[in-house]
Amino acid sequence: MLNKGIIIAIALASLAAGYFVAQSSKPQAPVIDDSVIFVYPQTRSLANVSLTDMNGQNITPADFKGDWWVLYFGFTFCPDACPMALANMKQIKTRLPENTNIKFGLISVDPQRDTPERLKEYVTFFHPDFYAATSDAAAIDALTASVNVVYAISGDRSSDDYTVDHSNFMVLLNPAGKHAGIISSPHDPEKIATELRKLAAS
Amino acid sequence: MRSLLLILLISSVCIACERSAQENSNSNNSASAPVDNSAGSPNNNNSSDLAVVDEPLAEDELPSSGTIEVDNPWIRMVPSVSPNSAAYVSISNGTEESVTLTGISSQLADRIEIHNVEVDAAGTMSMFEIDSLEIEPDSTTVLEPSGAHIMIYGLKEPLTEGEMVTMMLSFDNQPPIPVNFSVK
Ligand SMILES: [Cu+2]
Repeated sequence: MLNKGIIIAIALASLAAGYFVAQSSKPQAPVIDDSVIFVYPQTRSLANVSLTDMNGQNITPADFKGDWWVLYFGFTFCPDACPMALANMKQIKTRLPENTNIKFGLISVDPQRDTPERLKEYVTFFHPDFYAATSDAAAIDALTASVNVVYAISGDRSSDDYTVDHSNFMVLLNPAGKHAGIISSPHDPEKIATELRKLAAS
Repeated sequence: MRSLLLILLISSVCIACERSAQENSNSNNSASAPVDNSAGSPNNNNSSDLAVVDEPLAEDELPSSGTIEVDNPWIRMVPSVSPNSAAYVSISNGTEESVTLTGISSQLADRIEIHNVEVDAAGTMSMFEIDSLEIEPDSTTVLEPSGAHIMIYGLKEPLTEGEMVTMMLSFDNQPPIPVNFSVK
């Protein structure tokens, strides 16, 4: 009777031991502070649309594969949120190693006014390595919907005075080209850079 | 056999301990560096001489400016292709009456408005014009990023980092105040 009990205890202990050994030998996923970067438990695919980048090249979201991307959805006529987000991206970028595989870009939700030339001048003002792209309204609608970004044009579209309300978070793509998480505002460049480095090193 | 299992169990538990200890120390790294307070601390040995100085001013002894004062006026630097920007400032009302900011004028741009910002549950930011902004007596209203701001449409010239631009702030019951905003 006593022997049986000991055997069961040993069996349980060895199970537990096996579990711990298995756990500790697994490669560890980095622990990301989800108040800084919210990493989705499951990645999501981006809408497969055609975009025009700031160099006039046609691209698709598949071209983002191979690097981590931090994308902001905004527009160049934006007075407040967008220049602030891009200034923050610059601050994040300067805190990353020079050979980093983390890239930054602006996707314009205002193709009516944001030409490739205009986008290029806008984003490279903040950092020479920054990238930008846009597309027609239908493609932008599909792309934003696939990354949970919301935008709405308000005001008279026939004048240059209209403005665009939009989400104020950054969208994170992983090197597989999937939507992997979001970076909510307010944006703290120091903290975001720290978490991005952890992610990119994993 | 039994002792082998025990060793396994003990060692694996230790691995687990070590891991959680590591995680703890990692999270501690993000805490701010300790601040050395000793340098600025007063020398308490001579306190009898300094006692009078240490006594705080009573609230009603603070001089009331009786005027409108501004602090930290700045305009957000935007790339030259962007015709729009926003400006921010803290406005303190040192008078005994409520004061209302009714408008901003400048040669800087085609149109300047007072705006407020709304953020919905999904994180979508939208801004809208407001006619005026009230500043209660003896209080400060802060115009700041992601909040109420001075909206600048149609910059006549691109901004230059570090330059100062003047805008006139108009109030309902106070003379207008020229304010120099720094571009940054
Ligand atoms: Cu505004």
